[in-house]
Amino acid sequence: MATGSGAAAAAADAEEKESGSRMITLTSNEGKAFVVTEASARQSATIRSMVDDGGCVDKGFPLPNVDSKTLARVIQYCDEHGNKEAHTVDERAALAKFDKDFIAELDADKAFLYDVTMAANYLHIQGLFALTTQCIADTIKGKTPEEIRTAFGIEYDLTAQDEEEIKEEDTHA
Amino acid sequence: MACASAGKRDMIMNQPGHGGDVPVAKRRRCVEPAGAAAAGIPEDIVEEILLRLPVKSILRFRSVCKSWRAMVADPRFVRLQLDHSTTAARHRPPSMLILADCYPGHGVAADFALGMTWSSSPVATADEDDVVDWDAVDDGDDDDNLDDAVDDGDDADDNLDDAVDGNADDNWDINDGAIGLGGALHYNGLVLLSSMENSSMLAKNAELRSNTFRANCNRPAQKLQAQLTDETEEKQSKNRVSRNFRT
Repeated sequence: MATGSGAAAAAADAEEKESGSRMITLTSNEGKAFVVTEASARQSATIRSMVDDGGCVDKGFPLPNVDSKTLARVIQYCDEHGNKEAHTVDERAALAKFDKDFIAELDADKAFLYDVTMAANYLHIQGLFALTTQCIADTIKGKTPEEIRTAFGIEYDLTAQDEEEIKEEDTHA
Repeated sequence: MACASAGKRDMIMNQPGHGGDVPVAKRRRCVEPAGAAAAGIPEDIVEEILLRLPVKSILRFRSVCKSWRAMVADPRFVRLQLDHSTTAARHRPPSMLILADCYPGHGVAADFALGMTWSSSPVATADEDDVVDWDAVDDGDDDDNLDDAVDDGDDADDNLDDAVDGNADDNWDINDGAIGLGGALHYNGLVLLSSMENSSMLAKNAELRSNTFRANCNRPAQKLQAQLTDETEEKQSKNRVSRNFRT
């Protein structure tokens, strides 16, 4: 490393290593702090863009829309996907298995599943959002409109004319 | 977190084939305060859920409430749904049928299919003088998808890219021995047809462009077709040799 460029490269390496091992603090709306690796936090596009913009890394990120229970679960997903490699078939299979178990567990508690979905949306964690919305879709796809209204707490507000029009659309389809 | 609300849409919408041109500002125009809001689920998340449903379910759910009906009836939703199902389809392992002409000595694509089907070797079994550089199939990556064979240039036809260029996670490696020989003439993935005498159609994208070539995806919501030069249907069907394999 006698040359100038060599030293610069070494410095850049060191810097990269440092940023790779940086820890980031996420704070739930209850004020509970969660310390995660930067790789994990970068699963969230929201946080990623703020980190890249040189934002408040040291101060941490308050997340006023996410409670501790939900954040803990979201971080569980981010840790798995952010800190683990997905280069080989085995690694990808391991992640897929994690996703499967992760969503199966969430599926058992629908209200929590919705919370995690909204947190994933808010934090822009694409993989998690796709996972949870697909799970919800799979759950509701065979249901009747009435069952949907019950599940989502939706009030029936269609008029007889609306119903008539839908029937008409069906016959033309 | 001021930027939180803007980005998610951008991120999802900018996925290839996912309608990245939809302006963020227009996203909530069919929202009504009733409905899903009662359960605390924002309308835009409901939309994302609906987008992941089969068409049958989507149509049935027009009867849920006014806001869902309006959402589904919105042409923008229809377009997103098509884009979404197209994108989603690419993330499932396709079965694949490759069809090519059977002029003696020129059934390269058919041989290609045979090679893929019966051997985990990346080397093609074709021995014609127009045999192409099959090494393109095996570049040593762990994501040796078929798209390596046909998508090795940025001048590739967009439709073809959409049809074959999944991401590395698609994992329908042709070299990992996972491909079995299918029996029936069944496909739900990519179909390649070539009737040119010199059918080295999988060689290079440049050649793909110059040869007669058809890519036809027969998934329900993904009937895209790319025909690069004029070719009659009769000639293609008359001359085709088919092999079927699926992962």
